[in-house]
Amino acid sequence: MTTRTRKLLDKSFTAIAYSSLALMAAAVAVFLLPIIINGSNAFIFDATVEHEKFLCENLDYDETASIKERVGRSQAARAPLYEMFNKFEYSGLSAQIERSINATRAEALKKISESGEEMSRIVSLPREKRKAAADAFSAEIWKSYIAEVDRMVKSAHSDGTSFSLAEILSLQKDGISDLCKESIAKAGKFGFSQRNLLRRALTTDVTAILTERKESLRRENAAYETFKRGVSELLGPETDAEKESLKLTRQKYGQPRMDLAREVFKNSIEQITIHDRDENGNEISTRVKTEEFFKGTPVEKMFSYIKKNFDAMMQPHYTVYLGFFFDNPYDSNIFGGIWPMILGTFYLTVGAMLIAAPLGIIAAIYFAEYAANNSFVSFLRVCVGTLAGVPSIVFGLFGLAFLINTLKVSESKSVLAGSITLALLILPTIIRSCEEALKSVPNSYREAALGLGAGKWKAICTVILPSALPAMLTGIIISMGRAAGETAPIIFTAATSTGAALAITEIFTQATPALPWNIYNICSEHEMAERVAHVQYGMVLTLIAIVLSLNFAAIWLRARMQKRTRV
Amino acid sequence: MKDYKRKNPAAKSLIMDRHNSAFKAFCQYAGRSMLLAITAIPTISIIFILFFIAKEALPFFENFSYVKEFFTSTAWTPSKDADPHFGALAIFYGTLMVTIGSCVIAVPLGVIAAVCLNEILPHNLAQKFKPVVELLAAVPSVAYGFFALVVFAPILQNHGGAMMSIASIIAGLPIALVSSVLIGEFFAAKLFGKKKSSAKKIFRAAFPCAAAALVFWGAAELFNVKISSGTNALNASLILAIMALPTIVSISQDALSAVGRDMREGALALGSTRFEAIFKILLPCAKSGIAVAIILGFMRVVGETMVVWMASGNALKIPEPFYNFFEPVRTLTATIAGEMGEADQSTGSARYHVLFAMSFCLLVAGLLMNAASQWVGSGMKLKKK
Repeated sequence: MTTRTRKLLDKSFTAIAYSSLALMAAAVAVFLLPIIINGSNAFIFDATVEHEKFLCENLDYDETASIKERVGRSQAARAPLYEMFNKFEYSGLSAQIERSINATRAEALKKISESGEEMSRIVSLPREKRKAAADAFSAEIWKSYIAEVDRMVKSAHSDGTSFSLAEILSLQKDGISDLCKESIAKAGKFGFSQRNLLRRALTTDVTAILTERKESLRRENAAYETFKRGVSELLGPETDAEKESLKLTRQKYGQPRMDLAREVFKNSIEQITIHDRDENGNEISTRVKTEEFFKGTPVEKMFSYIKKNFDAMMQPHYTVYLGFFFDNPYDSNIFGGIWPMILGTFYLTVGAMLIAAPLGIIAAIYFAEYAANNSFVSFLRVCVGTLAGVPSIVFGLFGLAFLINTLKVSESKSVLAGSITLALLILPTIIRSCEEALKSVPNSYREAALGLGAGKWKAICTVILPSALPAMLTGIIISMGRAAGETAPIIFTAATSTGAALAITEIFTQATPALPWNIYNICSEHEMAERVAHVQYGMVLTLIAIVLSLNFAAIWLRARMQKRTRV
Repeated sequence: MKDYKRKNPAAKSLIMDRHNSAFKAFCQYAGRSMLLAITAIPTISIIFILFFIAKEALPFFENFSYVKEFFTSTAWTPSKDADPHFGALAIFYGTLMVTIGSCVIAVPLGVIAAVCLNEILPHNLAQKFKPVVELLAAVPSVAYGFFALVVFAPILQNHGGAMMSIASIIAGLPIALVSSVLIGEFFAAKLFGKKKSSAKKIFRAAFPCAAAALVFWGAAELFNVKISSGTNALNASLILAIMALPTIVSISQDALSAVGRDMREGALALGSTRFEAIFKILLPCAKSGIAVAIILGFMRVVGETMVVWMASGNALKIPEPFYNFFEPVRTLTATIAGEMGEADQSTGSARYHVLFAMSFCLLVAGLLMNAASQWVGSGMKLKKK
């Protein structure tokens, strides 16, 4: 190998080594940045007036003057929209429509009852000509009626009377057969089969036409209903009575956040889904633009009103919602905060600490100060290492099989069982770090204490432990962070997905929500994951903040300690 | 003597008193045994864990036909009342696949990063980089799982091909160029001897060109790969690799820093470059420590639950073809976590026991790997002595 290649190899290896570090740093950044940015969005966000309504009505927040003013302004902006809705649905024109349609129908029926001769001519024709003649006759009779219906359908589009017209048409369709029967009876005496033949000829086409017109209106009306559902998803129910009748909190209020509101506007108002049937009768759904679908109708005006007055109706303003950390969740986390999960994590972590720290410290003292160098002690040491290598899910199963099913520390899952399981999980880490800390105490300290006449235990308690304490605390805090973030051991021993915050007396018997488990749950099993995206990120940010702040506390402690020993 | 004691009651404890010492000895003995009892808690827990997991797994292992099916079949329908099937082959394979995938990424990266931190970077800079490694280790696994599922999976699904081709160019091109230069030089020396000639130059230049072309061709092929689901074996392997990195880095670094200074200085003094010193002297010296690091990283990957549960897609089949990392897989831990919730009400059901059988396999694998790491580690210590 030439020197040049060797140098090249050396340089390129150095470059690769540097880039491996850069890759790790980049991984940290890529991982943390979206979580920090989107997570802070959970409690610092552009809130709508619905957010404040929810807080005041459910969580006893003060209804300040500014909130009242904004609620009032939003109501003022919404009022014209609701008026448009009312006008569209309960049109005063409907009676007039019914009257004019009925008039043309009466005319047609009269024509039938007067054309007895024509009908008898048709009946007497030979079979092959009869059908065409009957159809022509029927078309002639119903011509003006159908023209009137078509006119109504067309104007319904722009008058906003399609709702009532669909109803009227369906009534007309049902009645037309009987009315024809009567008119035919009036026109003259026909035999039973002739009567039936005439009636069939006269009603088949017109019924089909009426059905088709009605269906076209129904399609439009269904689209309107979808549109209106979208609006109520955005703004919440119109009246208090309607609000009382709804069960879920998510239906009682509109969108509490502007980003969600914009999303709803884009997906459910600007574009709507229409359900049709294709030629095989299968249901197909198509997305259409509201503006194009309702072109020239009052709905288009409603849409443009919403678009124009979006901000006035929602009243956005930036809030810092610290209640995200201290409020109870409502309606599977769509509203409210994450307090029970934070509290549950706190209970589990502190519980695990209270069990594991004393045991770990004592075991470390034994290993560092008392243990002889024999095979029994090294077996104990190997077991500590082995316990550290047991997969965390196995700890969970052990907690289930031993603590809950065999020892019955509680009826079913409880904070206590979870804490014990977590304590076992972190015990090896604590023992090791505490042992390291004790070993790093210089021997001169021990000798000095013993030389002054202290007993061994006294020397440990008064000299060695205090001087090793910061290093021990470092290890303990780091394992506390680990206990806070572990999920697998608490799935079967302590965690439930829903539930209220526990009182301190309930921890021995009750399961609790906890941040790690609820993060999994809200990501994988929530039915409306896109509406709680901000809560997902917020929870992860909270958990990471808890764990990392514990770690940084440990790092700080270590740095301080190093400084002290250097002096 | 007695006068002295009367005058100074505080000095009482400092002076040995025969009357007192029997009681004191007893106290010491009792205290020591109590300390020993507490110290034995990890040992007792290990025994209890083994016992209880084995106890709950035993009803499953008693039935030999089930056991055969467990290791050889892929039919998994444990919830059926009539004729349930417990073929866990696909699940074992998924675990293996994800583990191998993450180790392939994490081991070279981790060892090189450890070398860089310990040998190349100046000490104070390396100290400053330490929090990054600690941060990676401290992040809870469910947060990694969340990242894999919510942030990474959609990107992988929509832009997976482009991402991979860029990654393959960035990572592959330098390595391919360097290795092709080496290979070219080796063959050039064989064919043309030591003489300089233009033919030799052209011959040598051809290798890097071919390598670069190969890399770009591979990248173009990867660009067109369509990934049907973002939660797949690749996603899980990548995130697991990031999780295993801190373990590998910090333990390998410890092993490297334990190698004596004389080794380094001797190698450099004999005229080797830093690269040669690292590869020919340092890494062989630290190899058992690095092996321990790899085993421990491997253990962390095998035992990890949340990431694989959220990121691997949980599909109950062996991917087609078997090395296809773009297909969803399912692992042992994810199966236990996902199905125990439905099984534990009916304690004593076959499903409950088969999940315990799986965790028994995990536990045994963990114990074996732990024993291996202890064995390798003790070899390292012996050598040092």
